[in-house]
Amino acid sequence: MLRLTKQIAGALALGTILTGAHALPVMAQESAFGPADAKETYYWISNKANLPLFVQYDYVGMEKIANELGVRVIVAGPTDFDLPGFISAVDQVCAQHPSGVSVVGGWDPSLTEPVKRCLEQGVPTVVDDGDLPDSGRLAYIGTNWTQVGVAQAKSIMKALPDGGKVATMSIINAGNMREAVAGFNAYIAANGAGKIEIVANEDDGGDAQKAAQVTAALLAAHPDIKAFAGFDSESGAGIVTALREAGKNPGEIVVTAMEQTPDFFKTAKEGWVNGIVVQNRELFIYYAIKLLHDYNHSGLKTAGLDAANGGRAIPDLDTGVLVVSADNVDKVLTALGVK
Amino acid sequence: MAARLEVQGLSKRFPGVIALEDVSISVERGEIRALLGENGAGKSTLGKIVAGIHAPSSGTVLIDGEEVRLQDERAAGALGIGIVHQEGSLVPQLSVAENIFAGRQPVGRFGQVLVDQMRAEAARLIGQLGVAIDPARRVAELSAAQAQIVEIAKALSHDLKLLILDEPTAALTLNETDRLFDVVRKLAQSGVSIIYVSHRLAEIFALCDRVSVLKDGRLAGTRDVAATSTDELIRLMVGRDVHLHRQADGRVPGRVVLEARQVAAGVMVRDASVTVRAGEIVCIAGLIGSGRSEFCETIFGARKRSGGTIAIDGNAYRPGGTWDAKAAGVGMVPEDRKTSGLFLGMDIVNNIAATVLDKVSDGAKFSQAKAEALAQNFVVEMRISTPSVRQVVGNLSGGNQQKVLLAKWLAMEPKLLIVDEPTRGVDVGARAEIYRLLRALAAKGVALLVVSSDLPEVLALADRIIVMAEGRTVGTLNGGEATEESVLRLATKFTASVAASRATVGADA
Amino acid sequence: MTDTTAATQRDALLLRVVRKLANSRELTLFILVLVLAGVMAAVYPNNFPTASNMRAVLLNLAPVGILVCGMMLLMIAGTFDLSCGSTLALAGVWAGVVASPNWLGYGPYAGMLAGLVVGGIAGLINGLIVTRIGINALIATLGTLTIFRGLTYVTAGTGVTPISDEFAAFGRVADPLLRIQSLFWVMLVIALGGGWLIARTRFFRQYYFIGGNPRAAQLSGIRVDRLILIGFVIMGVLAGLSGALYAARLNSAVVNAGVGIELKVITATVLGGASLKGGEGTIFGGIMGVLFIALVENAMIINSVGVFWQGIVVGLVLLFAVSLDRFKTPGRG
Repeated sequence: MLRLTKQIAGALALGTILTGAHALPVMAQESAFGPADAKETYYWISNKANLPLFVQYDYVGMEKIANELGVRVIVAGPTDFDLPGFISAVDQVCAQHPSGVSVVGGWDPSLTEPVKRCLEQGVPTVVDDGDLPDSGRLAYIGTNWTQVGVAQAKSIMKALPDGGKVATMSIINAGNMREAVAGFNAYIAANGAGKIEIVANEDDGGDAQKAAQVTAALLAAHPDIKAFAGFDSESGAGIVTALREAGKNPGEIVVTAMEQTPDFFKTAKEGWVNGIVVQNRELFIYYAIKLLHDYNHSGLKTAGLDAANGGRAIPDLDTGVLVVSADNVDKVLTALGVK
Repeated sequence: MAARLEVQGLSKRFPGVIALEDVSISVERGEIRALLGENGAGKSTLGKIVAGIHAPSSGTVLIDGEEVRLQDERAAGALGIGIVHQEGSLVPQLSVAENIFAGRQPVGRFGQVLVDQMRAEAARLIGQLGVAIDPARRVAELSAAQAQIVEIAKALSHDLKLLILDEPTAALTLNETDRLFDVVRKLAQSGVSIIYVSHRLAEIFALCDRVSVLKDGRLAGTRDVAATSTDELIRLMVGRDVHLHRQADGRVPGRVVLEARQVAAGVMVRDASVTVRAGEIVCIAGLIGSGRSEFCETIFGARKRSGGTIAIDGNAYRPGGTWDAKAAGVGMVPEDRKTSGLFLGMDIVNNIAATVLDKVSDGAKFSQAKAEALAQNFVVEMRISTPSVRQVVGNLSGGNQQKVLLAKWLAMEPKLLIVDEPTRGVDVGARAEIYRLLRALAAKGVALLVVSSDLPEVLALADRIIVMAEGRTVGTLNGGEATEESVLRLATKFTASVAASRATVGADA
Repeated sequence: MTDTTAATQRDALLLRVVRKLANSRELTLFILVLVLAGVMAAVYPNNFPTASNMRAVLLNLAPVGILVCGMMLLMIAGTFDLSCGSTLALAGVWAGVVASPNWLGYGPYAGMLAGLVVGGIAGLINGLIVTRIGINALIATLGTLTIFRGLTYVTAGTGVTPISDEFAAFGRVADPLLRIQSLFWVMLVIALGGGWLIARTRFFRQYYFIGGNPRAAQLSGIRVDRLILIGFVIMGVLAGLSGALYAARLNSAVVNAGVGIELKVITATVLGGASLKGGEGTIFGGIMGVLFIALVENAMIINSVGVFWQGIVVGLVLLFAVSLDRFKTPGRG
């Protein structure tokens, strides 16, 4: 028994040395912002709450607004793709009656019900980065995903004046992705009919490895395929990996994608990707919290009714998109300090 | 008055096998009838047909003179026929009462189980058997004998006419067997007919009125127990004379191989000592729970030793595990070949190779050819009957499995071989073969330490007998002079009546 | 009369063929793979049997294939590791942290080594929990599944992107002839080497005995606990290797890498002939299982099977392949 205890202790110590001592330069990501003693607490809730994309952009906006207003902004939700976990996180957060909640609505339409429950409990709730139109949310703040689809369709049509075969990749069951793919398909149908043919709308589950596998299979299925459009943040990396592995040259196949990490913009400079859609994500939570705070404090009335009596609506906010292409990529890389 | 059970011209064919061929027997009211036979002789099949589990291929079954056609066990139960299976049918996690009424619990208006009523009824059924077991207890907490009694209570119904017991004492100690026999006798006195399926001769002499012997699916004969002998029954079972008797073949014990002094291990082994010489067969006798097997496991390094000393060939020996025992030349054939001895899903070659992987390898590379040759040798030498060495061991008969298990340990050429229950679940013919092998081993100079619950076996094999009780070695008897009674007197303070009847009636093995 | 006899003989022959196939899962799978590939090649001659498609299929099955080698060893011994996907992510992130100049910056070789070591330690922890504390492998590795994933987040919540071009080279170098990237070749070496070791060597032979009957193995003088511990360490190191190469391939250590991969690995392993009870299986079978699943997935995309149907098809194909076991030679008395 003693020997056993020693052995376990040894293994644990070794683990601790590796994860602890060496972890000094390794910073665990903060998941709450603003003064710890703030009077008001706001929550941002999402699936895969520590997705690199979120941490890179959304968290920045979060930190900024928290310090600006002197409120606490806390990240909640599961770290993996876990819809039941997400829903229960929304329920549990709202049960604590925080000052306001912003839910990333794009993951799934089934979030409508928990958002409704929050509102019933009197918690001011908005939705960002993918709308839940039937939830009665006070406002939607974020990208108009149809416009994301349109932006990618425009980039592809510009790069392929003679048309050709195109495939899309997305998280097939995410509401915002569906909106984007529908916008993409509709724009192509209206403006590129007869020239551009959409041969597949595939699922990559938000996993670059899977995206690479699907891209490779699509290349085989359609040797004359001309373009790929990727709608989740990992699609682009996977598509480029597969093209590189297939021995393609940059520009041989047209790719449009969503932003991922700053490093990913290099693919636009190298010519692998023709258009990277940037969502202005830093604005999402910044404005979501700002508007919720405003809703709680401004005291402005409509027809004599204040917010608590349903008099004051929060305006929806379309944060717009920016397309990074060969034209502006140098400016972006310089601004972000990517070597 | 018609006989309670009349079986006429019963045959049963399974695909490729004739399990029963034209068997006719009749059992009277209140009679205890033994069904005796080697493994595969058809005795269990006969019991299962009468209990409605198998349908006969031809022939008729009559109960109280009326022909019956039984669809299933339930239909048999409705007619007053109960069976207690060899494998057991109890769920250990559930209570006694729930087990007795499995699937037919008394229920109330809403389908809820009426627990009090069920327990009262269970207590009444168990009471009928003349014992008291709390029906609320979980079966896992019961002793093996109590569990067996619960099995019987489960088979009891309002109007029980015939009870079939299939090898009910396999897991019981002598004392427990004795208590079970009391219950069976009580049932018989109340008019229930009993069919007692067994291959333990001593039990048949102690309990039964008449005995029907089956051989290869046919009835070899029916005898009054009072008018027959062990030798006659064995002849009927095997079809030839088999001698399980003691053979003094003039072996001369050599150097001391194993010297264990005051060994202690946990609560089961407190103070046990034994010396075994080369060429000597030493048997450890004792009741189940006396620490015999645990003592052997300690010598083999499968159990941690907390006290005492062991020396092999005069060298101090402190095994950290079974691999150290192996390195020191100690082998152990475990008690339960199915759960802890053999790899049932693997072939003979691999089973034998398991202990001697280094021997059948070229350097790091495992050699199929060497392993196969080794297995082939043993198959011939030990007369293992099998179509090929590549036969999966699970498909062999019990006796042949036991031989493979022995071969597995002989392959490593041990100095000391511990054999725990060498012939459990093995039929008489194979038993004689195994005795021959063990004696031949001893003659070659191997030191043998044998544990057995079967006293005739101990008396037939042992040069010396060490008796254990409650974790201690309590005495030594000379193999040639010991009797079952003298062994048992040492093993237990009170001489069980079973033992008494064994010693007096027919147990001349 | 003669007709029926002929028919019976034909049936008997068919049954014999089916039995033969059912008795060797490797052979069954091999034939299924050939049939699937043959049909696909006939129907889509310009799409399926192309060099680029074959390269892509082989490359993409490699991470799972490496894990299958370790899982097969564990399943032969009658146990398994659910935490391998989390180990893969943890090792990948540690490889990235050690290699990336933005983090510790010890260079690509140190990063690769870190991945292997972290994987090995994770395996050692699993093994110690299972053998020394005696917790059932299902529960133990279910626990470490979330613990290792959590450690991954704690180490680098956002992952490490990019790692470095030198590190990425590990995943991007390809052989000059067939032009398949390193990940596949590493898998091939492990599969061939591991396959030989498990099938032929005395040491690994012992795992079959452990899986066949652990108690009997123990009583046969086989060091059951030590071997199972070693098995978990091997699984961990392979997961670490797979994770580090996975990160190198994308030049990015993703914290969510390998989520759910353990089920894919176990599926392929069982499909390849491992039994949940242990004592059976070969590396060749496991690799055939991975290859078969990869081909089915590839075939569906080439066939333009709708995404919602793909999961259903994969499940049906698996059930079909495993159900062939019903025709196994009856045995065991």
